[in-house]
Amino acid sequence: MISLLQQQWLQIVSSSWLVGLSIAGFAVGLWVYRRGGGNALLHPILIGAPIIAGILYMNGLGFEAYYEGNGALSWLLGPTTVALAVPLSQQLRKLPAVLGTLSLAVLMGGFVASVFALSLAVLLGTSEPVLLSIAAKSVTTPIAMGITQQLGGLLTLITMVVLLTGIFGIIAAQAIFRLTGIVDERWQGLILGIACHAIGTAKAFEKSSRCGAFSTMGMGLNGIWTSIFLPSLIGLFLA
Amino acid sequence: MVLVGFQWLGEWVASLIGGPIHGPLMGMLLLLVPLTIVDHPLAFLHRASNLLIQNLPLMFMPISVGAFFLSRDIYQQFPAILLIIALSTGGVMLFMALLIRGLTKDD
Repeated sequence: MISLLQQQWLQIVSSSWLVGLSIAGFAVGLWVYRRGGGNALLHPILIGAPIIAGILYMNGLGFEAYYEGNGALSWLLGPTTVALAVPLSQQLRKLPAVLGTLSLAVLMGGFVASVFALSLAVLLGTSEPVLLSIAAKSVTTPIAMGITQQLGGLLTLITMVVLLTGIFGIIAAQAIFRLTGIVDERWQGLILGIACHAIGTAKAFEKSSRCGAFSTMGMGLNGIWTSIFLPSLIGLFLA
Repeated sequence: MVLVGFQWLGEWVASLIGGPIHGPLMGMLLLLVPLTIVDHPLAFLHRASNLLIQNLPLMFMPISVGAFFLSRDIYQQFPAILLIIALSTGGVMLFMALLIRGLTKDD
């Protein structure tokens, strides 16, 4: 435990001016995103990350040096994961009468999301690092990173995969809801939260606070559930 | 400080019991218990939690930049990765929609 605290302290104190580069890149990304009316394809990460990568390449800086220089920002992902308990508890406290449907949708939806992704990865013959890095794609980033680290996947890949999953999901959502006749905003929110994590939840809050509340529940519960079953499931898909 | 305290508590419990749940997630579960049971608004905790969650993309900016420094082998697999994302995300959303429609058809 002491060594873990020392490790975290070293991570924080190794931060440098490169934190400023991340904040600047994020600010530019956020500005473009807001100017674009919140279009998912203009997500701050999709805009900011390539700008930062370009600056690093131009200055001959490697990713390792940049990542180490951003220790404080990366460390904050830990407390942020814990912070997810606050919105989740607000929804759990007023547990709805639809508990049965909700539980089944989370249990089966979270499981099927990973099984679909892993089956397709095997079918398309992707390498093992890719397979290990896409398994947690429907889970919110801070939890997906923890799961992927445990599985031995690439953290640099899972964050982009999670982001693209959320973007694709919210683009496809309306067509799927129309096709299947899902008009109840509670269920639309739950599906968005389970399949498209925080990006889906942000979209759900745009519809209504009720839709957003169900999405928050879907996202939080799926994160917990996936971290429980995925380490056992993954072995079945490894050659 | 409460969030950091629960993160460390989570790391400690996770290291004690082992298993698949990593430290920060264990911390979230441990914090979830009192927050769900006790219906008392802790304004400072809500403020800190909102601030962190609203700025979440900034925190995973550093690791996301790594997507531009991956090996050639991974980039060659990107078309397959995009296909997996599209098909599996669309597939699971369709699956859940049909499941929920089946479960709630009597409502």
